[in-house]
Amino acid sequence: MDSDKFDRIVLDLLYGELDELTTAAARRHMDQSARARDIYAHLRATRQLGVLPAHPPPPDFEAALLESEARLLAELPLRHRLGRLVSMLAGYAMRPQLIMAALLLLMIGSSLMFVRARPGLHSPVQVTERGAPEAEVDLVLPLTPPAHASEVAAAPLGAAQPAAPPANTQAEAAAPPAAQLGAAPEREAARLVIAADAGGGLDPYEQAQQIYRAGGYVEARRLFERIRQTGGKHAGDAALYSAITTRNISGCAPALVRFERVQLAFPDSAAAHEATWRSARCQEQMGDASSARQSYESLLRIPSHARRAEQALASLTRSAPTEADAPARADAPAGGNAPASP
Amino acid sequence: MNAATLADEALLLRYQRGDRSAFVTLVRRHQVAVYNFVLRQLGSALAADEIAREVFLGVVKEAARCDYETPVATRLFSIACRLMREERSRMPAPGSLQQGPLAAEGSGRGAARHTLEDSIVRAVDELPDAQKDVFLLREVADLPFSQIATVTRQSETAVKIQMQHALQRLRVALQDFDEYRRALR
Repeated sequence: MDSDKFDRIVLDLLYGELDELTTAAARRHMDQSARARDIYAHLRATRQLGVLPAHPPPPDFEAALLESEARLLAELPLRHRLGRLVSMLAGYAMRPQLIMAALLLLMIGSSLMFVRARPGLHSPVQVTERGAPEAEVDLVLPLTPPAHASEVAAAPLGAAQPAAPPANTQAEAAAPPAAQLGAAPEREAARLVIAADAGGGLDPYEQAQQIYRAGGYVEARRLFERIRQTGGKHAGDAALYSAITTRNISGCAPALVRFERVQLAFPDSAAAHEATWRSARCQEQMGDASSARQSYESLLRIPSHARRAEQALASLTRSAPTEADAPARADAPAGGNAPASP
Repeated sequence: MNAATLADEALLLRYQRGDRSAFVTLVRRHQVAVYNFVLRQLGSALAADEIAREVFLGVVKEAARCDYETPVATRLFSIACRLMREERSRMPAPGSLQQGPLAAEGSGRGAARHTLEDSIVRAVDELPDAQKDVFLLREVADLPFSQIATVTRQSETAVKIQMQHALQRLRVALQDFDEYRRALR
């Protein structure tokens, strides 16, 4: 540090406004320069000597000032008062606690949108799901397709009903539940389709049955439709199975038309009665209790279906007082709340 | 948080939001410096009381539109300097404080001390206005040179030159107390 620079900073040194490095440099300079040391010593002595005594303000200074301040605030123009008010409100709005509280309220409000009322208590809107749940394939399938064409020829469809084994067992045999249809059954269905297209030497109806049992509903329906259109001894059964596969694929609504077509095309046949039963089940599931009741009542005079129709009617009557619950049951998984199969 | 430990700017912000106790804290923190600065400039305790109050009321008036980059002390003494200039233009030459609060003290060693104080006060009174402003802002208000430059609207270098001149004048004026000064060196 040279003398010029020292002269420039000596006052800062005197009043302690220098940083540590410059202070150290200035002190080193003073150690080496008698002139610098003398200047600093004189300034420091004058400063220490020239201390002015401090006088306290009058005792009423603060009180008088606050009084004047209150008076001044009361007389402030509207513009200034508004400015103070805005500043005050902004100060509160910027507080983190307030922001957190607003966020919490927002979160609670938005989460309320996702909270539903408990079913059956307050819900003013009821939704009926139209269609057949996957477990619907567990329903009664009294029309057990014969394993071989020869058996079909020997035992007509209607005549086989009284000796039929329990319905559920037949259903499992005829149509494996969709839940059980994994990759392997799909591969089996595909293989059967290829075999059917190639001819394979089997009866087309039997081939369609095999594909149906393997879960290849779309292909099975195509084959059943072809047999129905061709006519012959399996036309009625093929039409019925075409309707059943339609229900399995697309649900009850489109299947109802096909069930009705079976009833009209093959009146008083076993296939027609079974179609009536199936359509009644669909109607019941779709919430159309009156149509279902009519269908069940029409089956009371059919020996093969009378007992099941009676049970279904009784079940329908039991559920009638709590009709509002029907859609809720339809919403529930079919495996749990589905009406018991006869 | 205790208001006494808050910075001036935080107190002013609180006051803007309606907290009058923050203003009281600000007043208590700066009233001695402001009052003494004005007292040394005007030499009249009565006028100093009035002007010092005006200084604080000036902050109240500006509170709604103040920025937070200017320290409160700088703001206070800027107002004080402005009021002082107006007051000086109305008043005759400032009177000595010998008739003021320092006048009625005892004798002996205390009297000797009073003689020194009177000399200091007189020497400061006799400083040119610009040097007196800088000296009082540094010694009484304890403002750093950068803030003094803001208050007096000069460069920092000019402020330091004024201060050096003021100290040299004081040194000359207080030559009678060389013994004291040598003892202090």
